[in-house]
Amino acid sequence: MATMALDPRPAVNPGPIDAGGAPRMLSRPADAPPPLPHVRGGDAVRSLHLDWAALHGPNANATPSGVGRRVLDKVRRILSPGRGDHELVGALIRAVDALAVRCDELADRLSTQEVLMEDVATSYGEDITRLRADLAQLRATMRDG
Amino acid sequence: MGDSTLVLSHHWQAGSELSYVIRTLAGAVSRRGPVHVVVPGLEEGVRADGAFDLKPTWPSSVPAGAPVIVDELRPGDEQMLGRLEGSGRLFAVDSTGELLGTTGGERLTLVPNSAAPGAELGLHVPVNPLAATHRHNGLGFVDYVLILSGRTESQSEPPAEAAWLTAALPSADVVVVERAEATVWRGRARRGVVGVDSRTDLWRLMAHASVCVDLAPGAFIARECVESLLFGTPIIVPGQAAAAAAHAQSGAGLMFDTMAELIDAVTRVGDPDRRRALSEAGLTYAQPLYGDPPAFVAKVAQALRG
Repeated sequence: MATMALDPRPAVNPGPIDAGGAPRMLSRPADAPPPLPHVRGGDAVRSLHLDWAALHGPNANATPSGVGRRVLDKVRRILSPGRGDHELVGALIRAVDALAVRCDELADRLSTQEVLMEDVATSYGEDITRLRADLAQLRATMRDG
Repeated sequence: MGDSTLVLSHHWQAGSELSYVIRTLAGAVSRRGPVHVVVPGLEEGVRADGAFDLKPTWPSSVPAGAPVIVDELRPGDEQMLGRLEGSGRLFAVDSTGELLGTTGGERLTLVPNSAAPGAELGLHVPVNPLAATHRHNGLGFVDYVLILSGRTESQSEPPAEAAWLTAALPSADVVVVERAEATVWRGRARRGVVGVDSRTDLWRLMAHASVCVDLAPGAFIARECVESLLFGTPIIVPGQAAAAAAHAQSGAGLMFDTMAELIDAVTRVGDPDRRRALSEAGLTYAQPLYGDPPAFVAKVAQALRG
């Protein structure tokens, strides 16, 4: 300040501060996105199970009565022409179930990885940046004696 | 009629901080009497500019004892000043010590300095306090680190200081203002851009920031630093920036010379108690010195009287 009072010109423009190479920016955020919703709990798989249960579940014959039951029986006969088709549809539903379970497991693992990657990127990035900054300052101090 | 004052300005129309300073000084001295503003290089005749009539040369009759205020005392001004007979004392905002010695001028001090404590005039730096009532429309958050970069070229990467901050403080929102735009960085990634279309937009950004880092503060009063302090937002400035460093040394802010110091300063301001203390110190410092027009007018009048 004393120098400035005498002649501010040398002091008015801050000199360039050696950043020692600024940290690189990311092309997209490293934030973990919201976890994927489970397929098994989704409408598509759930309605498949509900429809199948309505047609072939333990209460399938008990639900309607009278005219309604006779209509439903007719529909069942039309929709279930043979024992083989019935088993095939059952196997298909089980396969869909298995795929849904695997998809949900993969989504859980991916979510864990994304959170982990965010934590690692954040904490390591922070630590390394601070270390670099401190190191640059230490070097400058040593250089200046 | 009052006491006349002569103003010699090389920067009147430059749009720079010195231009702002000399116009504000001319406004202040206009309260004590007529002001004759001379802008070398103007076409012959009188050109109206707001409250003032600009002329390229001195008036034919110089009021006896009228003080002369120069924004920048340049080599060659001695001849022009030599033509002034009967004028009073000479004051310069910017000058080398050598030129001041030659012309017998005195330096007008706008910011505090340890060599002459209490001699500072201050200045009138107006801000609209209503800017503190609503945050900037484009930002859905407050308490960010505001960086005034001063860069004029369009660049995709943030200034080095902003890059270090967003990398070292990944959870902090870093808002970089340059080229009439505010770019938001968080966790090393660019999150969006909003326009800064008016001074009020800039004031809103300042008023709702946790801290204002001015990378290119003005040389004479560091106007944006003062505005930030008037909103109660602490400042962080390069230690080499004389006027801004003077503000920071008043207790209203922090200084840095290296990236480690910058990161440390922003981290420290993140402490609510520390920020509150800096904010209060900033208001206590800036309000009487830069936010009190009558006091400023009185100080200028007293300085010219000697």
